[in-house]
Amino acid sequence: MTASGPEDCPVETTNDIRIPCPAGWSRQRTEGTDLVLLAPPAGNGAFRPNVVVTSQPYDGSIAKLSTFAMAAAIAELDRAHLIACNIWPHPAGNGRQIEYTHQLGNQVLHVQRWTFAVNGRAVDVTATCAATQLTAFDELFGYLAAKIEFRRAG
Amino acid sequence: MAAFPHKEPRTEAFASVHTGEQLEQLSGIAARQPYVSQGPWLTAGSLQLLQTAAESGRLGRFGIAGKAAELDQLVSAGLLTDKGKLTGQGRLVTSPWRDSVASLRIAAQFGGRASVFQAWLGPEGCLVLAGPSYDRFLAGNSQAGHQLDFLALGHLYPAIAAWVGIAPAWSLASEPLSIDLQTVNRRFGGETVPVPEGADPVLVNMWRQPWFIWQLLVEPESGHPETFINAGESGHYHLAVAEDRAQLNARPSGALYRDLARAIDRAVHR
Repeated sequence: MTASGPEDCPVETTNDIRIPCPAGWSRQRTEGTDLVLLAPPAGNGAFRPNVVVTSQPYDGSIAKLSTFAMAAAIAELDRAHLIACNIWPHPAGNGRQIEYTHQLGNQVLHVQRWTFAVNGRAVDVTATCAATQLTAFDELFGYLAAKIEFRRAG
Repeated sequence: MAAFPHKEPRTEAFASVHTGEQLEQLSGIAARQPYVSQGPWLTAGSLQLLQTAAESGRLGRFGIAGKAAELDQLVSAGLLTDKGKLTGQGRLVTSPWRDSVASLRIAAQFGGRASVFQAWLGPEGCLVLAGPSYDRFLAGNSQAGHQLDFLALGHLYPAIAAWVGIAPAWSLASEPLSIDLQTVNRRFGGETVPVPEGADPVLVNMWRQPWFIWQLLVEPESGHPETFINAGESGHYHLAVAEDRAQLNARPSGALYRDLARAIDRAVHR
């Protein structure tokens, strides 16, 4: 399985952010989320990599938001293994890049989550693929994360 | 909708003071995500018996003579019958020894004590033999022997990450410092070695952490293996060696995880 290239990405928007949509990916409506982008099906029951944007009111620190996100991953997911928590600088305000694996059924999934405390809101962009797909999708996910724009200037 | 806590989180003392930012505490996470395997712990003698059985399908009468204790471990694990014949499960689990596409080996040491993690990647799955992991050394609970497991390929990634203790840490930049290799080697041995002269505060803090030192070897392929140091709350470091001098370079945990993932992928898709 190979990831599509980042060229010619149309932009998808939520109330909070703008993010590119990779060529061939589809946008889905899913309750409780602001945006879901789904990779085209690859067949063979392979996991479909996806990007999910969620947001909610929040006026605390990014340190607290980050700690909350990591604690939630450990508490709510099966065999979560935290890999990284890095400062993710953004002109709108500092964020974090949090990374972990967890088990879903028989699969091990790899999650990168960019989380921001901006404009009185907590905004999460979560990119998920199978652990075995990371090498193929890492560059695309990194590109999407680098292109996140907040719609209301902070 | 999530209920956010009111309280601010604990901060990582050194990293927050050093950067002047409120940085949440990350140390302590590694200890809470240990290497977990449901597989049996095997002694060196049992392992040898299992390898002999895997080669020929069964152990003869002479093969098991005087080895009741070793055989017993393998029978309890469901790998051999009490006559010394491989069970169906035993055949599956040991299949990567006969038919592996690649194998990888991580040699580690902590406080002068050694351990090893080995995986043979076969078409049916990965045979894993894991000695004491990072979290066990940290907890002072490093029993001898190897824990055997059989994993689907996808499960190998977090298994290795857990075994070497990859976890979030604030990777702080430090001034490059050329250190005498002998000094680093003595520090590897667990001796109390003074902090090298000229070390900046980040390196001083790193030098004082417990070190778990490891090298990854992938067969076939490997050139010279790279050396990495898991330095607790200071995160991970790569040891760059040139002749008799060494330099410690921070390697953020996410980048290190990718080093491992790429090594596995290359081995599989060679």
